[in-house]
Amino acid sequence: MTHGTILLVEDNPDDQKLTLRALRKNNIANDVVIAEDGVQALDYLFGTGQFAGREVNDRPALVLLDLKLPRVDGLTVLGRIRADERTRTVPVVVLTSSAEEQDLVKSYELGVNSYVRKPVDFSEFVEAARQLGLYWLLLNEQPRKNGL
Amino acid sequence: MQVLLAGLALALILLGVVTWVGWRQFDRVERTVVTVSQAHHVLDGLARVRSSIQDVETGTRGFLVTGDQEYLAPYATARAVISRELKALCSISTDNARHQTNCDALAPLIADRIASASRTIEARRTEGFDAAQRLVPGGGGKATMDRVRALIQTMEAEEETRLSQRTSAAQREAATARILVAIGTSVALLLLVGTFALVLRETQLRRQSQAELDRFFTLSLDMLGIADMNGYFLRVSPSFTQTLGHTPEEMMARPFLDFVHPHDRAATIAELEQLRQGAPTVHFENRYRCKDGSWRWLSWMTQPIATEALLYATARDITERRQAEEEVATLNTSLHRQALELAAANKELESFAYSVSHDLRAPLRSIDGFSQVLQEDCAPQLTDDGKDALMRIRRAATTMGQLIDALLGLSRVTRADLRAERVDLSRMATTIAGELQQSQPERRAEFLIAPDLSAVGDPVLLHAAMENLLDNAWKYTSTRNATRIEVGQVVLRDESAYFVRDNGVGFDMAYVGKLFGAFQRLHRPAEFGGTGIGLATVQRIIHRHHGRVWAEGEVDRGATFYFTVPGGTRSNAS
Repeated sequence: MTHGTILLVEDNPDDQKLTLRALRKNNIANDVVIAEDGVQALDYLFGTGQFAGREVNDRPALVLLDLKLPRVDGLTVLGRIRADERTRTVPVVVLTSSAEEQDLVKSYELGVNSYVRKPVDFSEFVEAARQLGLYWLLLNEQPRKNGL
Repeated sequence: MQVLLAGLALALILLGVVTWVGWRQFDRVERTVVTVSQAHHVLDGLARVRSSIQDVETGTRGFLVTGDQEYLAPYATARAVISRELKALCSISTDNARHQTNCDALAPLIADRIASASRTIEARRTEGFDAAQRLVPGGGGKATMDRVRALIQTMEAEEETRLSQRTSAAQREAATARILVAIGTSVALLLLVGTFALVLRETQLRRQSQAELDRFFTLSLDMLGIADMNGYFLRVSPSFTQTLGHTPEEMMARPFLDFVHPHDRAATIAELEQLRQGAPTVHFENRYRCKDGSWRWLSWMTQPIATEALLYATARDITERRQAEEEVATLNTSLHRQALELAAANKELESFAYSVSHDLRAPLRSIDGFSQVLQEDCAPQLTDDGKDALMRIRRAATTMGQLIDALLGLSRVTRADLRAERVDLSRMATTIAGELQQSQPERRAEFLIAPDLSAVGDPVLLHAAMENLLDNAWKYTSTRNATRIEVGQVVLRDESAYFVRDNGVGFDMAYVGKLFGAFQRLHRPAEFGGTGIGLATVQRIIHRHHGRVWAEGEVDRGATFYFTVPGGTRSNAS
């Protein structure tokens, strides 16, 4: 497994805990930073607010993004990530309970890498987390940080 | 009327002609009478001249015989007047030439005779009787006198003849005048009598038609009225009283605008202006006040007659119709409002159902997730009962998750935008059948899918409907030794319907109404699994395509589900 931080943007503590467990069960040992709403997520990504001074170029290996979030919602966060040169290439997986077609369409329009609907059955969730980790953390080749 | 006028004119003309002819005739009579009196004058004149000349002779003879001056008095008188008398005689009837000739002949003879008489008298006076007597035979007095007499006689005879001629002419003229006047007057009288008879007849006819009109006027159910241009009724039919309650006098006492509803007054004034311009009213509706204060809707037809400056109007009471219309309008409005409210409530329910289902999934995930955490992390500490309980919790959570997903699917069917495309239902059914067989390869199943079934509709939704129907058929045939599922098309009462038929457990037609309701199930979950939402979803999909869906079944003898998709359902089995 490559190193790199996973940014988990999730306001529900149960879901935070279950997601962490699912990752662990799949032996994904990357550091996980939890942002409880959109503002925190943006602060972390762009080194502002409580994360002021954080090295922005130290980008997360993967962002797991819930859509329904307090203050700033997930689609806005996704838009900001894709709009900024520094974070444009960060893989973002939307992890949501929303099955709304328009949420899905909007997410893909904004350039999401994957859209996963959280299943009720935890076993299924563990399986989904496994596949996500396998693909985005292990198999997916990202552009080099310094580019060409 | 024209006959009447012609008769009258003819009578007048005739009277004029008669008057003129009569006048002319009397003129002629008058002229004849004048000539008659002229003749009389001539005769008188002749008599006078004769008398005077005789006086001259008699006077002269008396003086001659007696020498008495007294005898000369008539002579002197006659001598003084005779020339005047002769002149008067000659001046009468200057038109008669013979009379004039005679007159001219008479004058010298008379002068001669007077001259001889004068000589005789002079001789008698100066020389005595004898000298005078000698003068008499030689003086030629007698001969002159005879000629005078003869001449006067001739003139008298002639004048007598003329007199008698003229008298009879005057009588004839008068008779003619009498006849003419009599005839003319008779004809004129006849004409007048005829005209009078005509007038009488005309008057009678007019009175009769007036009576007929009056009867209709009184009888009419519609209100009839005549009004002047100032907005007053001059005459109203009794139906006004029957409809509005006002007496005709009350109706005519005030301008009719006073009876019009305040809201209709402006329109009525505008209409009245149109009428004054000569444009008839065909359909005009306004409200009139009744005696009891209520209002009646009247529909007017009015014809202005410019030459009489009158309006002829009929009105019909359309209050009932207006009320019915208003009721319908009110009903429509309230129905429309209710429909809007219903739609709003429906939408609210949908979004409520959606957000509830959505938000319910999060705690459900926790329940299932942490149950598994317990199973995995705390298994050694758990008793068998505890493990069973956890297993049941997780199963329930899974079922609930399926229910929620089904509900979400149902609400998505309602909210999704509908596309219209040609959908190959045969291929769709074949694919789904393949998946079903694959899910339970051990089952013996036969799918009979008609070729070339196609419909115009939303491909995603129609797929969902077909999937639900085939799932259903697959599920309820699971207890059969051999499953047989048929997909096809039938024409029922000019309506082309698709059907999915199975040989499963069927259902009691008594419960057919429950079949398509959400969460309505005809079987216990232990018998057949399911959410009870599948057929509700099918119904919604078909209804969104403006089609119908219905089912036929019999316990233990299978079921058939029919549906129609009106947007072009003919199979193209070409």
